[in-house]
Amino acid sequence: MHELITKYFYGEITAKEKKQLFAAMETDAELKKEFFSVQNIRALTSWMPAEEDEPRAVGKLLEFKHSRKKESHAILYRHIVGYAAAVCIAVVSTWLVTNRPEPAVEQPVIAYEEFSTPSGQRALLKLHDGTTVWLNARSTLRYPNHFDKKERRVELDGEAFFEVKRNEEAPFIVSTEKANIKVLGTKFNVFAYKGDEEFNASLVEGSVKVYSGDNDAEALQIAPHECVFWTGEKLEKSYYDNTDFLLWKEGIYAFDDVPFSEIIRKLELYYDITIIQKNRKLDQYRFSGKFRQRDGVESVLQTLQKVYYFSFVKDEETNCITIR
Amino acid sequence: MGKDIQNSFDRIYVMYYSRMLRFAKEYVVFEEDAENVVQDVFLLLWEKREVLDIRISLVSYLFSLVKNRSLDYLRHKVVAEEYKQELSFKLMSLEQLNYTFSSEEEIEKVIANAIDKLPERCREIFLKSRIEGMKYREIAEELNISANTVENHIAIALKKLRVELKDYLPLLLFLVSVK
Repeated sequence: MHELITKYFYGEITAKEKKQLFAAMETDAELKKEFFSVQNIRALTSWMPAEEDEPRAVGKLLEFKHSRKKESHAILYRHIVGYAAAVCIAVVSTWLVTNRPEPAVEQPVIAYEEFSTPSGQRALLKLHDGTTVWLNARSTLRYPNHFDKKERRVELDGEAFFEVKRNEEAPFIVSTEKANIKVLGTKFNVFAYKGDEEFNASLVEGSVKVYSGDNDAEALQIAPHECVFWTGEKLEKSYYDNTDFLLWKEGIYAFDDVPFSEIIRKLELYYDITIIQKNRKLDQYRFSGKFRQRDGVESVLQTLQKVYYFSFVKDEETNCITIR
Repeated sequence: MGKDIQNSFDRIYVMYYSRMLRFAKEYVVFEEDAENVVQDVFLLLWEKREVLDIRISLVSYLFSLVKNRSLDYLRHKVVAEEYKQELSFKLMSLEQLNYTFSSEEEIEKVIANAIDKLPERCREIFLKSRIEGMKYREIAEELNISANTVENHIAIALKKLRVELKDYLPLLLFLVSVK
């Protein structure tokens, strides 16, 4: 009978065995005690922190704040300083857009929701259609409160990893400043911060179309391990073999043989900080390495200092780092 | 401490949401209901964030909030016959989870210490099953060992944890008196 307790808690018990177990527990105090103990040990140990706890909670917190805001109609921009606390700057703005301009028909209105992750944070969001979205630091995802029947369109400013729920009838479209990505159901990463010269869409699974403007007739279609990047003038197809750049989902920033200036640019984006690089010697070096997002920008620089010497000072007031 | 919680509502949410959900799911059975339980706890914290006066440790407070909310749920939930018995056992388990405010030690530390004392392999397997929610067969496959070995390790872990966490778990004496 004791092995049924194990089976019960590890999800492998049949309905019949469950009945048997509970019937036995009604009369067997020892067995009941065993059940209670295992149950409570499981519950107590669920307080151990786990890897994805925090990004999952950030997504939930954004939802929570959103529902609070709706209720109170209060302005909720809160500025909180410190580790993990910065989370809440992200608040949701809702506005109305009329969908069809025919006056006779009652116009369906779509309300847009917007989630933003603050610097140094990432969030895991779940959309209504079952699509999951990992949002990297300082990224904004804007999406309608209900998806259209014909297409599911979201807007992205920043970096995100999508796992799109398959729906042949309604393609999923990610609009960014430089290009749009159209998919039916697949996994892919998009790097598209507004105002930044870099755009990159990398496919992990399935197939996607990438195009600029509204017309997807001349879209570039890519397969897994292929990517599309912006040359400054047009979109171009390429491929990748190292998947370390996807590690940001696990809270790790990986750089693989990249120039110092590239690291600086990414740090500025991810941590919302200005970095002034006055040490020209560093420009000729390339760096590889992995950093923990939560350790912060200074820790990254301290590690890089060990490879090639340089000094840096941070001005807390202007939120600016100068490298010499 | 009232001020603290107001300033760090977000921090508390991010740090504890997932753990509280795991805890609630142990008793409440249905994922959606467990989410509601945790949601209620945070609503309470949110509404009282200005006036909260916590005289005990934060973790102890959160722990008791989620425990009590789960108890309320189990006590009031009108359930279909097929779940009645199961939930009633869950309710009994939780009622006997002995944890009071007076505990000086933080529950989190007590649990972490207990788990740290497990032999290494045993701890690894137990955490996989517990935190990552993996089933025996999945753990066995990942570690390339037999499901039986996994089961043995978990049994050892449970046995040792029962000793380490005995202050929170029901005593036999107590149970015999329960009808």
